[in-house]
Amino acid sequence: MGFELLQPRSLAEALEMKKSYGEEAKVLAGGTDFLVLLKDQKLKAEVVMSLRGIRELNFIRHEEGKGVTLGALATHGAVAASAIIRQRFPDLAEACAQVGAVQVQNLGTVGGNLCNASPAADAAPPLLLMDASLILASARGERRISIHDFFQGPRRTVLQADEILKEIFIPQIPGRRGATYLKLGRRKAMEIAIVGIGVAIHLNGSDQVVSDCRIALGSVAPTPLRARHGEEILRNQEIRDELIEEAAEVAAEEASPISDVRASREYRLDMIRVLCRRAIPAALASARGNKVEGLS
Amino acid sequence: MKIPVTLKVNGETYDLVIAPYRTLLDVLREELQLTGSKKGCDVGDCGACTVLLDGKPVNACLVLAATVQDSDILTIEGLAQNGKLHPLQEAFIKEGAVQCGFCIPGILMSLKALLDENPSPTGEEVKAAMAGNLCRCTGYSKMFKAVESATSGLGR
Amino acid sequence: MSDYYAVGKSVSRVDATAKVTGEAVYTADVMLPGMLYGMAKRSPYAHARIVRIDSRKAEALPGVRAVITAENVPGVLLGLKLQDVPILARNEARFAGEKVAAVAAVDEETAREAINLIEVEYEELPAITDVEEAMKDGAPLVHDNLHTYAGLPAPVKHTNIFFHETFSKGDTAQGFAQADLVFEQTFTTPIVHQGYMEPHAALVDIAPDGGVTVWSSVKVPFRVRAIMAEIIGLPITRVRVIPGFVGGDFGGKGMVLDEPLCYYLARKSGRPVKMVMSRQEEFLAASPRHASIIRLKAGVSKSAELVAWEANAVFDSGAYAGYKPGVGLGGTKKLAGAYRVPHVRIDGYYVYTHTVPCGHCRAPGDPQASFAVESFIDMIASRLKLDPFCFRWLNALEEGDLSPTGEPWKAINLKETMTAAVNASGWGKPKPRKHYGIGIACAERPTGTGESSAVVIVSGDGSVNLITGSSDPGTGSRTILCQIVAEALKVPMDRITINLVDTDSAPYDQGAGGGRTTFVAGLSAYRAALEVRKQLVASAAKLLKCPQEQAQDLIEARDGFLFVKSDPNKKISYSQAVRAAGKSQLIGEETFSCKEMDDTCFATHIAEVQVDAERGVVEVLRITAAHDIGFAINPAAAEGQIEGGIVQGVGFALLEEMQRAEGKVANPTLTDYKLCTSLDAPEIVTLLVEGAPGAGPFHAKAIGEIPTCPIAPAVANAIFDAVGVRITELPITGEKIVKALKESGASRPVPVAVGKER
Ligand SMILES: Cc1cc2nc3c(=O)[nH]c(=O)nc-3n(C[C@H](O)[C@H](O)[C@H](O)COP(=O)(O)OP(=O)(O)OC[C@H]3O[C@@H](n4cnc5c(N)ncnc54)[C@H](O)[C@@H]3O)c2cc1C
Ligand code: FES
Ligand code: FES
Repeated sequence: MGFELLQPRSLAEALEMKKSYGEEAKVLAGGTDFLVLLKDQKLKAEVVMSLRGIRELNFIRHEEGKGVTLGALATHGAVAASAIIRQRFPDLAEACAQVGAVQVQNLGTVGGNLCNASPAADAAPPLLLMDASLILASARGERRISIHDFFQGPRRTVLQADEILKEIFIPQIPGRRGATYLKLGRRKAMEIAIVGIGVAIHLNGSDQVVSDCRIALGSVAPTPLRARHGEEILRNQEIRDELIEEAAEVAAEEASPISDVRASREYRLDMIRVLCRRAIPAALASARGNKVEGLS
Repeated sequence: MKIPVTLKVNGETYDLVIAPYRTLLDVLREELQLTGSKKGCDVGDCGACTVLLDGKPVNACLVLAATVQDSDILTIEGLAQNGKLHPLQEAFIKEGAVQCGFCIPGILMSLKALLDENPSPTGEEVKAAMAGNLCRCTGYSKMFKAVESATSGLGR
Repeated sequence: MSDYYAVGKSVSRVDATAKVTGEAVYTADVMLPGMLYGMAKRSPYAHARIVRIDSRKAEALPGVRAVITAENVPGVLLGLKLQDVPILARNEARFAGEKVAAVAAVDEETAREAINLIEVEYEELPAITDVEEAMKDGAPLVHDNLHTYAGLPAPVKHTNIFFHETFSKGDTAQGFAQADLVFEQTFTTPIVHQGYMEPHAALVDIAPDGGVTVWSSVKVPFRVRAIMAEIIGLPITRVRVIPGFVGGDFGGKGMVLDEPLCYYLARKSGRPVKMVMSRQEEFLAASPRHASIIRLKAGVSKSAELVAWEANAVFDSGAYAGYKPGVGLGGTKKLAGAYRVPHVRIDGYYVYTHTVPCGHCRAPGDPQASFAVESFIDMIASRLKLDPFCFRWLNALEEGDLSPTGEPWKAINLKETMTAAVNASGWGKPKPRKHYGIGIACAERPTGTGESSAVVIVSGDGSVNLITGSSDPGTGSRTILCQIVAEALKVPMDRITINLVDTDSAPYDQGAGGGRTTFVAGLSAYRAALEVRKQLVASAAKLLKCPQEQAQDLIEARDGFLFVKSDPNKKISYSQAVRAAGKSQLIGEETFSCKEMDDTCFATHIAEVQVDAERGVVEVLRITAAHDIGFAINPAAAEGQIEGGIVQGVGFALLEEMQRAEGKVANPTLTDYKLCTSLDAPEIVTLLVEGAPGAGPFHAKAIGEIPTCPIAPAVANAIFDAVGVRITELPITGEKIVKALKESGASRPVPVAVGKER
């Protein structure tokens, strides 16, 4: 894996480098996916550009009334520890806190998690719930795209050869939002999700009628995805057990899981239902400011 | 092609010339002869290579040495200060928490980072702090006890 | 507690400081000037003919110093008993991961590149990867020339079943005829890895005069020496093996892996060569625990007594059988448990397949047998509507009983462990929650036998050296040996030094394993210490004016001093005694060897679990483990063995499995081969049941292996208690539980109620 290492000190410098090297220069953030792939010889690199030295990309910024922006170098550890994220976006904090274990959280970035485009990326479902947008930068300029348009398949994204992900923007959500991310693995840590489910419930005025419900699924399709039909069932409804059941059922129908060494397709489908049945009430309770305990 | 790299490890500065692909773990072990950090998997799964990067535990096998020249690196060799063992080291010895020892440097570094941030962690916090460090020998029990005994000692 | 001086105490380990500071040197840590990095090229196919190997491109790569194939190594077949393992595959690769070539280069990177440049042309052949298929007549043969192999226990030809062993007692036909009820069940267990944290490492240096020095992570340095000497054709004494600290073993570090390759690469390159296996290589091609298929049949009388028992076990050995010191596995003999059964017949089959070769893993064969037997016992109890404890109690062996295979065991302490475990756990108490379950399982495993030697030296200043070639793969055995010597000599522990020494510097030792170290190495150290003590006493007698013929009785030792019992104030230091003998040191030596053993050990584990029935997730809350240990020389070390064994056993029960796809290991990483993390480890209550007269020093029994045995069935039994489904195939995944619950019709989960506001 002999390669040339580029270590830009500023974003501008990085973009210039990316402009001249294009596809050839592979971007390295925390390295927790990148180096594993490289060592397994699943990735070849002639030129590697490390973003680590670009201080300006390492931040979590909150602007009241607008939202929260994560720099490309914000690590899972930093996001999970951020007070504003924990308060406003507990689902993202929960997801980041469940990535690997402490060491990987300290290295791995949320940006890298998205750019790596694994169907199992834990940060993806919460960011899908939030309709986050991604700022992609190149020497040509910046473009903002919705996270819904970012993933193209396992390990494939819309990133162009000269682009890097600069920031992730999470818009502020009006009303009361409650959300949770539930991850199923076989161990309590160091797990790639068998199924990961994020659910957000928005309340506007009434505590009974849900103004919006959002469900996002990980590890059960070629990309993380929203279960839009399942969401439909709960939107503008007063939540009842039968509706939860139905939403869970429909969400499972929207997934297309495979069988692999981690679990079978059937189990994954079953678990979407089970985790939805748990996550929806938990999100609702959290929206009502009333934590349900004992869920995982 | 090799490049010049300067690393700050355990308070000392090392000027090296290394290939850019080399990981911090390989450089520590092979260039600096700091072989206390172990290679149990080389891909982030076992934690045996855990070192502190600016006080935070990371897998040295997943870090390119050339990219951490701005950071302070602490390895197991730097845990004892002035010939005096860290309370965690003392406690691990006393409680019989060490068996084959291969996981121990990594575990001690993870726990040192925990205690620096949180001097009196709960049992669950201790377990979570160690979850990225596999140990096959001990079943972890005596390690939990050792942390307890180290923290009660630190507090007094 | 006791009035022992140094044993029976949880003293700190002699090597703990080196290990907590990172100073301890493991084999991979050794670097020699000019050293090259070796790496192996491995077959991607489960079965293939090697048509041609072209290594020219690899040889031409700058930095590559040697490339070897089967042509460059002797055609010998290696094996600890059955000799069937080539150094490099010759003509034929028999499993995916088998080594076909190797390189040595100036750095790891170049070596990896060179490996990629070696071109191997294979002709893929039909692979037989299913053990039951492999047993059929006419199945493709993994080894055509099996009948020519050395070490076959009985002549066999044209078969993949290289060994069939039987044990029996009484007449099972008669037994089943007498039985009122007959039960049958099949159990399976997967291949699991020992999971030691330190991957195999080897380093070989050849001196200009041809003498060979080997650094090896193997726990049996003398065995490595003998094997290397034989391959190379040198006298044993021309090979020196330097052991490093061993980073975990669990049976997996008992045989050479890359050592011979290092030698031939070193010979070709003229430089020392080191090879360290990657974690992936560890999974593809080390020597894990055998997968098994176990069929049990039991006949029971109306009064719930076991009357007949048949067991049939098939162990999938993979492509080779040479990685273990016996051709069979000790576990086969355990297939009728530790119960009183008059009529028993056990059949064990060992079968080749084109998959990863298996070897020894902590209590070889036992956890497989234990899972089957102890699950089966619960299933029978349940059908008889008996409490699983009571059914066991009724049939448990007692002092004077013959073992299921007809052996007269000494000191049968099974019931003591059952009582201790039940009393200390939640057994028999009301269930605290829904889907909480409790399960019990018992195990038996003998103390290991073998040969060890020790030298104890008391120097002129009264300090003591213990020299032994026995290795300590993390069990604490070197500390225990020091405690034994300290006890025999009555000197404080800090006066005793034990160093890791090479095979030239210590007398022969068979090496750790099989639960033998405390017993065999322990007795050799004890007797060597007593021998030197005799000399000290004899010398002191002169100074104390004590008649020589009574000296050994009248003179006592304490804290490094000798005195006549009746006059403890007049003391002679060891230092004085040595000098009075007119020597600069006194030496005691002992070689102790034991081949047969009627001493065995018992254990009872109780598992408490909480099952999330919807997801099938099992949380092991607590394990209460009672172990018949005779005497705990170092209680903390004994507990450490038990705690580690239990957590390994929880992995075996719930998590661990080397999955195979077309014969190839499909999950060769620690991401997907799952060892318990700190968050998955249960609370453990350890009960050391002392008092049985063990064969070891101070009546100690063995403790290294048995703790892994009863866990999986205890957990399986607890899961049954919690949710009413019986999983007979390990590991017990959430998926299996959910499926079983669905099939049993009990699955319709109660919807979670929405948190209503008050
Ligand atoms: C032991 C272990 C456990 C893990 N557990 C989990 C887990 O539980 N859940 C989970 O989701 N993941 C897990 N991962 C995967 C990984 O840690 C995460 O995906 C992590 O977020 C990746 O971030 P990174 O900064 O390390 O990315 P890198 O490895 O540096 O990069 C990943 C990919 O993204 C690209 N990239 C990174 N940043 C940018 C950018 N700014 N612009 C353009 N391209 C970019 C890289 O080119 C590369 O292709 C685990 C990994 C390991 C080693
Ligand atoms: S060696 Fe780095 S985590 Fe295993
Ligand atoms: S002490 Fe051996 S792996 Fe932890």
